[in-house]
Amino acid sequence: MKKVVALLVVVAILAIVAGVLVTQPLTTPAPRPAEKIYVGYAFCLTGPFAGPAEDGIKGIRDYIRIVNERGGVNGREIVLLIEDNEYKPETTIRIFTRWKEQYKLSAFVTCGTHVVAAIYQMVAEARIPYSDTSMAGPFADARKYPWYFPAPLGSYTDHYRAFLKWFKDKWAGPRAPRLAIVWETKAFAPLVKPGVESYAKDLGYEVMVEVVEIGSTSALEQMQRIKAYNADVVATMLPPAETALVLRTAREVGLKAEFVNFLYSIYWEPLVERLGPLAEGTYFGAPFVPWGYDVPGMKDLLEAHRRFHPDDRHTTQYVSGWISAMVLVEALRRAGDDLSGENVRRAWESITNFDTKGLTPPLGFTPMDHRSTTTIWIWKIEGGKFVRVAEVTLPRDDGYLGK
Amino acid sequence: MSAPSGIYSKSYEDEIAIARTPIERLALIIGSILLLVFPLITPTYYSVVAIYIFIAIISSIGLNILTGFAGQVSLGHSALMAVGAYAAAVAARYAGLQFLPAIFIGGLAAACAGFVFGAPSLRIKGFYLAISTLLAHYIIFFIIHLPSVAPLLGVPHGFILPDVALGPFTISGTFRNLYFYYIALGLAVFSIITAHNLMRSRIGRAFVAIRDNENAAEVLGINVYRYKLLAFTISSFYAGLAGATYVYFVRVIIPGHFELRVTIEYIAIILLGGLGRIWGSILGSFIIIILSEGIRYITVTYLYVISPEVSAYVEAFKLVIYGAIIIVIILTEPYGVVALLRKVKQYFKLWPFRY
Repeated sequence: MKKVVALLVVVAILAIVAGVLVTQPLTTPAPRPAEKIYVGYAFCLTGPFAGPAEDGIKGIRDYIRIVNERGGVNGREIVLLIEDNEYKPETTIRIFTRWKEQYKLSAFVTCGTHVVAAIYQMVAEARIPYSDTSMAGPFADARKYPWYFPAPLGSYTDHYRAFLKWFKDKWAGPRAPRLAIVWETKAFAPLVKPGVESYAKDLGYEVMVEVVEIGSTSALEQMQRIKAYNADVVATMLPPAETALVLRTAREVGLKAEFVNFLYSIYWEPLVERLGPLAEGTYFGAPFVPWGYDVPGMKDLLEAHRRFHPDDRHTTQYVSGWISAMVLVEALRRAGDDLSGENVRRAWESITNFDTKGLTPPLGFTPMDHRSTTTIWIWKIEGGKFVRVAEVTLPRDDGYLGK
Repeated sequence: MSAPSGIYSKSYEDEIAIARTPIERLALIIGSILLLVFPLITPTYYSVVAIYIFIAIISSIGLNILTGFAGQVSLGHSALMAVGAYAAAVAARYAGLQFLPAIFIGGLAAACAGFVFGAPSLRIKGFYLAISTLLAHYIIFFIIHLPSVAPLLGVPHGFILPDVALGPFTISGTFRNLYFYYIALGLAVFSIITAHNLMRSRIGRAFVAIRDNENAAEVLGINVYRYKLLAFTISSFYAGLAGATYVYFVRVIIPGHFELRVTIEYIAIILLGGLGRIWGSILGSFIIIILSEGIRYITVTYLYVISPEVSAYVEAFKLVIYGAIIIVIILTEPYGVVALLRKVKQYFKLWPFRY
């Protein structure tokens, strides 16, 4: 046995020495043609957000296809790498590792706030600009997360803040308005609630907080307490199923308050159809238009729909995917021939007053602030349709960057 | 351990030897060389997949000790991994401990939690025990998310761990994955050897006796309750060690790494590989991770070239295919791949004769 161990040790040392000598030539990936731009999308094509993601990726694909048909970016074709990250951090890490080795990635895009938290460090070390469908405010602070660019649709916190500001401005009651925040403590809401709560207090709201955890089957007690509190506004920071539960229970207990919901739990046509009357009269903040909305920029989307998949039904997610691809392409265009991560990031941060022809307010970034816009549109659901009721512009430097 | 005809032990050293025949020794040497050279001759991606396999081996050995050897059901395995991961992260961040002491602390913290949450096994078994360990999962996650605890643990932004440091050496930069491969390999080998020896000891035999017949074990003088708690504690140590190693690898710890589905995956690993066998954990980890990555790789690399549409459909049905393959394997051999390989070995031992 001792001989075997000794032999193993000798073999191990020899193998490591030999390996270190040959590591470089053997592990260096084969060079890729320089004229192509590789962008990786590790998207949640299965998992809880598979439905919206599927339509979102169509918007991205169609926009890139049109860009390539028109000669690409600075004469280079964009190659979209798309894989399902299963909404899991570990799968995303494996995909990223493989792509990083196989391709010279100019940008990497994922799906899921928890994925961003888990993988940011790895992508930042690789010095590759990184984006995601998530718009969690803390990650938009470029001083802490310089390689990360949230989806170019504002930040979740700003969506609520804009609504609260608008509501407060038109408030004419004899007392301070009362806000009830209903949140879950384990997914995205902990990244949203502190900023919203603090802003509401700054504005003069009286605030109460209730928790409805993901997977809850009842919100009766919470809604009864909110009713007893006589809340004027209820801000829900919950996934779709729990939002539906809260809306239904609120109706059952006779709660009379305005509801402002989480963007991804309401701003999707199939969800509104499923919610039916429960969604009626509720609000949300979002700086982009729904599918089919009458703005000049929609013409291109309708054309893509007619050409590529006329039988498909599209939604707001298609529009958001399209917009995120527009911003990405603009960053690549500004980067010119130097597609190093550092240069693409600088180019991305140089985007100001980017015109999406009405699909969004003008978009822009700075080296400190990666929120694409602080101009938020307030939407109300009326007759099953999204109706824009207001536009609120929040100052960028009001201390809420990173909240 | 059964040995081929003609191989007998002349000393205690012979009896406890891991490789007893020339073929076993040769296989051990070739296998070791391959494992050592593997990350040097393959792209980093393969090393990363191998690291996942090594970590899965460590964790699934823990679950196999509890479920396969001691016969106790647990649905709290991933939560115990989380305990180990967070304990190691806290030890590294706030106490400045290096990698090895930190992951050891992680293992110990998980072992303590396992001791506490294993206590219900004194009174209940089967489905009831499964539910009580499931509650342990929720309790641990509840604690992690408590408003007073969460900020300390970086929930939900993510808690960033320092680089792996071994004495004066810090592992970072281009070859980080290469070095981490050897670290994970070393820890997996350590786990395999310790578990293997444990199962050959009095403790391991007591576990098996309890699994096979609790009453008979008690009559034989085995303190059933003590050994059940010991099984929970040892199993949790492995879980904690795996969780701590994993978060050191990914550098950022979030609760999402340790969701309930992770426990289900580990149960699938030991069922597929073989309950009550260390080799079952090794083969199960290898098959489950390679299967998952293999389907993805084939889909996106080869099918996409032939037809993006077909590739998209296969991608969508990936989990169905993955599940179907596992079901077919388990239906073919309910005792796991280890038993299947044993049958194959028996067949070739006698070939061309049937008996």
